[in-house]
Amino acid sequence: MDNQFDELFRNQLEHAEVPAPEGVWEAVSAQVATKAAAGTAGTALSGAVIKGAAALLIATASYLAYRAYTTEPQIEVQAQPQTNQTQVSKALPSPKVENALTTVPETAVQRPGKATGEAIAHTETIVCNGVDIADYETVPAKTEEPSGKQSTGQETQTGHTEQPCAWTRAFKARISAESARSVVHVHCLDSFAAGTLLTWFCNGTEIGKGQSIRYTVLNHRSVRMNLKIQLPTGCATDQEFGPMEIEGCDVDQNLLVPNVFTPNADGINDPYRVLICGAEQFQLSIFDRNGTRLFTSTDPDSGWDGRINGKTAPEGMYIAKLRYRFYGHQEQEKTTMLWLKGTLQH
Amino acid sequence: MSTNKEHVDRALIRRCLDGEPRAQKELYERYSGKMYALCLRYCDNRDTAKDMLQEGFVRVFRSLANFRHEGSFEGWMKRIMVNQCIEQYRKEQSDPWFSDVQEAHHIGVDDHAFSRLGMQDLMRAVQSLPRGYRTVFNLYAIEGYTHKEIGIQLGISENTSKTQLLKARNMLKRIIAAMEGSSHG
Repeated sequence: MDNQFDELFRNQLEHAEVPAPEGVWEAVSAQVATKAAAGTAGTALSGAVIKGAAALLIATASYLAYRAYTTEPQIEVQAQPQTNQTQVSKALPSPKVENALTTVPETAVQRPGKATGEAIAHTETIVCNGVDIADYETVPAKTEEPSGKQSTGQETQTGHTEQPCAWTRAFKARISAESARSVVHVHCLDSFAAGTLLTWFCNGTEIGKGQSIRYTVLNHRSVRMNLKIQLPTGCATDQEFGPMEIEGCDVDQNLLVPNVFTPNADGINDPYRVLICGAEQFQLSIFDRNGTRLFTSTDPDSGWDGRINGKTAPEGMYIAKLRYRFYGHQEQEKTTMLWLKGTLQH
Repeated sequence: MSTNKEHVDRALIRRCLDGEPRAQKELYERYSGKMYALCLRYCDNRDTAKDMLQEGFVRVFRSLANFRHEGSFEGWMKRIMVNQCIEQYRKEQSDPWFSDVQEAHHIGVDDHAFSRLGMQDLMRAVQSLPRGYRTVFNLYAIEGYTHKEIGIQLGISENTSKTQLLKARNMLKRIIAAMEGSSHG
């Protein structure tokens, strides 16, 4: 009898397959690869050197690539040379940046003061299709990145660019963690021409598009945000912000659903409450075993007091049904058996 | 049993050990569905199951060189995943919010109800068990561990394992009955 019962479950579940959620493979391969890389690179110093060399290669390659496409000067750039010369920036031929993918009417404003030589950190005004896309403060691509660098939210920037555009620059974004809610609010401070696509990534997973988005970070304390900027011209760049620490939930998980509660007014587990943080939408319903709805709430802080129409509910099994959505995630449902024990005595 | 499957596994493992990233991805894609379903059985929410799957696969790849081809590769992988879930169980043991239910009563269950229940329903039923019951039920009824092995793995006595299994079965019967009930409301 019991064997048959077990068998029923075994038959259905032993070889069951459920498509694995997205992002797992990326996380696995990153961890496995990191381990391997750490083994071969040896010291942090040699790692940095390799990184620098790779950055130089990328910069050179992208320059050659863009050079091959260059036809007419189409983007006008003004530059005021500053300091901080680096190896990588030497790969840039001149501050006059041309991009074959854009077409600029001849009416594009010409400005004086073109710099010559190997300018590195400078302010560019990029004119694309006759429109000022933005003023950027550029920084040279880094030849090395100090490991373990921590940025504590606010405005962070790095100079990491790796796309077919000929310029190297940093964009600014404001990242703020909404305290105790595990919600990150990212906002790109640069303005772009219409048609520019801003795509955000959190720890490598795409989380949304737009100038400004909110996202609930689930089960992570530290995040790395990436912003991919695709100009209407086809130019794209990838910017990384972080890592930053999230001031999240008090618990390690964003959702804790107790399955027992004791509405005996002893101050412990009295109202039945679900612990959830970072939710954009939330609904809790309690049913009895006949499927009759006893309680509904859309406020996670207000729980069921274990009463039905003012009367104490009998001990036993109930069903808690949850519907919730975190920022940037899909709506989810969860149904749990709920044991009510130790009712309030009159 | 199928030797073809073993051949494919063997070739895939060799390519992984040679450091071919594409082989790793193939291996992941070949087994991630099964392993995720396994993790889901041991967890009551998808996020934890996802973490188990991720950490389990990292372990699989890191200890791939230790696989001796003595049993089936799938079985070896499953054991790694199960161990991952058992570790999580131990971690959650100290969590006061998940107190296990002390009692379980017998209840009449419509046997025909079972045949109408599909994999997802049974999965949900297992997931809604209290953690202790769920872990023991999974290990015994599905993975085929003995009570002695379960006792050692979970740090409980053999008798506790037996009692938990009985309670798990009783509760599953109640849960299934309740599921049938709530679907009308």
